[in-house]
Amino acid sequence: MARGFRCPSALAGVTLSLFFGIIIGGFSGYYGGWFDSAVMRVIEFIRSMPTIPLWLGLAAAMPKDWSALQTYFAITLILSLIGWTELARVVRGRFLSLRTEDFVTAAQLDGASDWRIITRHMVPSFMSHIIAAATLAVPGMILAETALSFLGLGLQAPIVSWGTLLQDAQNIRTLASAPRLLVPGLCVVIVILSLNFFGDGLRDAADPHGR
Amino acid sequence: MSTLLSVENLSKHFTVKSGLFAPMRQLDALTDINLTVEAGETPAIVGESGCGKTTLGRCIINAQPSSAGRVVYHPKAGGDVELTALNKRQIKPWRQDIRMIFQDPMSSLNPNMRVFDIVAEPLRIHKVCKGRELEDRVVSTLAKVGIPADAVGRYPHAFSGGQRQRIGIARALVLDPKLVIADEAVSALDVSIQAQVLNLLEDLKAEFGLTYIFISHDLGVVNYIADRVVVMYLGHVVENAPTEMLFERPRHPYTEVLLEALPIADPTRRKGRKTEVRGEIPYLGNRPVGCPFHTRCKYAEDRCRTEKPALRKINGSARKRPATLPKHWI
Repeated sequence: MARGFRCPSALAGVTLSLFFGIIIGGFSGYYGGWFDSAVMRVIEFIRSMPTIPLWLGLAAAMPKDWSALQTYFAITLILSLIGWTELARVVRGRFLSLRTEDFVTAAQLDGASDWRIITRHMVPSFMSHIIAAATLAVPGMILAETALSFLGLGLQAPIVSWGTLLQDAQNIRTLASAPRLLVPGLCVVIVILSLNFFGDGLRDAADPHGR
Repeated sequence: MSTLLSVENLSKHFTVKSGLFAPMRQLDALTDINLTVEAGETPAIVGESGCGKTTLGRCIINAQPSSAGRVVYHPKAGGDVELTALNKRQIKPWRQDIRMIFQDPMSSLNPNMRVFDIVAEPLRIHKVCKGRELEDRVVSTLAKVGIPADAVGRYPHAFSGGQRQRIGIARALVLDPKLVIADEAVSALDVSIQAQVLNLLEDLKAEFGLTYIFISHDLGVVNYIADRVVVMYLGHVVENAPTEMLFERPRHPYTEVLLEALPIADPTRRKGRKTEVRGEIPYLGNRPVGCPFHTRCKYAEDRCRTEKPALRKINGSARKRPATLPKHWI
C-alpha cells in the first residue's frame, strides 16, 4: 500500500516545493529590493542547517499514533520545507537575468502588465529549467525518504517501502547470505535514473529550438 | 512642421554603491538635455559608447524613470502629454504612439513565442482588434517588412539576423505609431543587411508618416538616414545641427574628431594617418570639471578646465563651443 503512494507522494512534495519556490523566488527576482535580500537570507539560513539531523528531529517529533499515510505526507511536507529553497534560487536567478532581457523590456514598452510579462514572457522561457529542476527534485525526495526510512525514522517496518526493505540489508552477514536484500536499492537507482532521463526528455520537448 | 516631442532639461542620475560601507556615489548619465523633434524629421543621436545615447532613448520612452526635467509629447490631436509625469497605467495609451526598435535582434524577440504572437502581442495588450482582423493586420504588417505569410508560425530562431530585425520593426509598427525610437537598429547586422533595413525604414517612414529618433554610433549610417544630428559626449549634448552642415563644418572639437575617425573608402583621398582622439572616455563617476571634453580636446585651454560652455545658436541651430573658440574656427 505504501508503495502505491510513493510516487504520488514524492510528486506532492515536489509540487509543494515548486509552488513555494516559484512564487517566492519569482517575487524575489522580479521586484528585488529589500524583499529579495530578506528572502535570500532566509534561504541561506535554511540551507546552512545540516539536513539529516533536521529531518531526524522533525521526523522524531511526529506523533507515533499517526497512520502510515499521515506519516508519509508529513515526511513529504518536511522534505519540501527544505526543497523549495533550491527551486526558489533557480527561479530567482532566471527572473533576475530575464528581467533585463530586451524582449522583456519590449513587452513592458508594449504596455503589458506585470502579470502578463511574468506569465506570458518570463515563465515560458524558463519552463524547461523548472521542468528539469522538478524532475531532478523527485529523485531527491525519493532518496531522502529512503534514507529516513533506512535509518528507521521514516516509515516503520510493517509498511513496505524501499527504505524499510533496505533496513534488513544493514547487517553485512545477512547481506552475505542473502544478496537479494539489495534489490530494493537497485530499484531506487533504476527509478531515479529513469526520472532523470524523463526530465531530460521533458526539457527538450519544452525547448522551442528542438522543434 | 509641428513639434512632436520635446525634451526639456532632462537629467538622469544613477546611484551606485561600491562597497558595503562606501558612500553612495552619483553617476550623471544625462545632464540637462534639451531637444525638440519635429514631426516627420529624423534626428540621429550619436556618440561613443557610454555617452548616454541609449539612456536618453530609454528615458524618452520611459523605459527608465528620469531624475529631472520633462519629456513632453505633442499629439496631433492637441493637448500636450508630459510622459515623464505619468505612471504605468496612465502612460499605457501613449505606448501605442511611441514605439521602440531594439539593437540586438537575437535578444529582443521572445524565443518561446511564434512570430505571429510576437507581432500580435501589442495589438492584444491594447485590445486594438481581435480574431480575423488581428490576423490580417499582423500578416499584412509582416508582409510589409518582407516576412512571408507562411513563415508567421515559426519561432524566432528559424530566422536570420536581418529577418529578425525586420520582425522587430513589424512589432514596432503594428500599432501604427507616430514616433519610433530606433536604438542602434542596424548595428548588429551585416553591412549588406544594414542597407536593406535602412531602406526599409525609409520606405516605411514615407508610407506611415513616421518620425524616427535614430540612435547610432555609426556616422555612415547617420549620414544616410538622418536629417539632423545630435552629438552627445558624457551625457551632454555638444552639438545639434542639420546633417549636411554638421558633416561639412563641425563646430565642436569632439564632432571634428568623430568625423575624422570616419573611414574613407577612396585611398587617393586619404591623407596619411588619422588624428585619433586622445585618451579614453572618462569614467562617469569621475567626470571632469569644466567642459566635459577638455581632457581629450586638442584646443583645451585653462578656461576650459574650470568653465562649462553653454550651447549657443549658430545660424539658427544650437551649437556648443569650448569656452574659448579656437582661432581657426572663426
